[in-house]
Amino acid sequence: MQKVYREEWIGEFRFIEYEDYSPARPSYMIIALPDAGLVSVIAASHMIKKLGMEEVGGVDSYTYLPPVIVVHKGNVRPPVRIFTRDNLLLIYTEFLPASAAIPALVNSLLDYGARKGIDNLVCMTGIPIPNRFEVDKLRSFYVPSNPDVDRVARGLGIEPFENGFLVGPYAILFKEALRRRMNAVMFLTESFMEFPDPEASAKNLTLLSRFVGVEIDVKELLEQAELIRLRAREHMKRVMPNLAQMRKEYEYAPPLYT
Amino acid sequence: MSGVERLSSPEDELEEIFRRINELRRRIESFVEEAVRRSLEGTRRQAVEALRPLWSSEGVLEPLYSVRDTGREYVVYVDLPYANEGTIDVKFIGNEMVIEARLKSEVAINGWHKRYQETKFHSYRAVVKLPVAPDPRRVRIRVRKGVIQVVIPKD
Repeated sequence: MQKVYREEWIGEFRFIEYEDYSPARPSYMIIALPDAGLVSVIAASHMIKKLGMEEVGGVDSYTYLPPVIVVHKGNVRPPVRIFTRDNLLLIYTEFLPASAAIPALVNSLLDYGARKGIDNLVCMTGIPIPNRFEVDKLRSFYVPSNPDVDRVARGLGIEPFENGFLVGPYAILFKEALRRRMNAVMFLTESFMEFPDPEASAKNLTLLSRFVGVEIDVKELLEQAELIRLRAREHMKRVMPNLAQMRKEYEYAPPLYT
Repeated sequence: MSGVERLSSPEDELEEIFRRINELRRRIESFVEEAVRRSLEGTRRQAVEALRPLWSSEGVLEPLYSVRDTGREYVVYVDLPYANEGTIDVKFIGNEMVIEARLKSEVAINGWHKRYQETKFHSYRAVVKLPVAPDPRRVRIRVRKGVIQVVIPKD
């Protein structure tokens, strides 16, 4: 039986903490939600293992999240899980709620982050390209929430994402972060839309590693890429209808006004 | 002169009108029944498809695939991670493409205790329905990093 240290309702979401914890400062909240190529979730999963992050809580909702429990090493966990180490707080879920539920989830997560004294929000996901099959060298971009973040991200040697559409859970997350005037950055690496893409995950992790100043070795992720793709097939299949419902294909379209 | 056959008496004409009304009603009922049956069948197929796993206890995995219409061609991408590229076999049967490949070695899914009945997976197999029946001689196939690209010209 999982010990519950504290629980709190934020909106329709029940936040459970298994122990008292508080990220060191300056703190970074990383939110990993299923999206194009499962880039974010694959990266986060690797990061949890490599950094030995501790699972300290979870989020559940009978209204907005699927009726799921995750059984991990015999322990029952809610569908959204919270991990931490030092100044990092990672929100991780392999289940994408229906598009109508995402704003409520995102707002509750950001409220929770604010209560935990989070200084920075980091999103990392894939930006699908139709010719991904042909591309060996993946390009990465960033979207900053303010000039300070822009300066730091520019120092990573990647270009800002200047024109285009972003659709899906990270679009909502970033809009809310902007509305709250948070320090936030979104790393976007070219990826497949419909196939799991651990190579893109590794590229994003390299950027994250430099942005937060924590070494995350991606060698094993790249070596295991094929087996991760094999294992992630079922998840990718389940996520695709949700992405289609959100009209994710708009990301392929160039904007008319640039 | 109209194409309507002139009948002998008003009673016969009335009977003919009722016969035609009944025929029309029968056709409408049949049409609605067929539409409802097709709709329910489509919903049932979608539900079955959504609930179907991408693996079988015989050790065969079903790969992810997508079909794109690029205008002049259909392009099919099939994700075959950890497949032995030398064993990839693509066949066309009418408007179906059958893809099979052996894995580099048998794979068990670690950390998912007993859910796969401890199955070891040895191969991929998928049957992809195509919008056309391709001429296999004109189909172009490439493999890169475990993804197969099949280009099917439309004409």
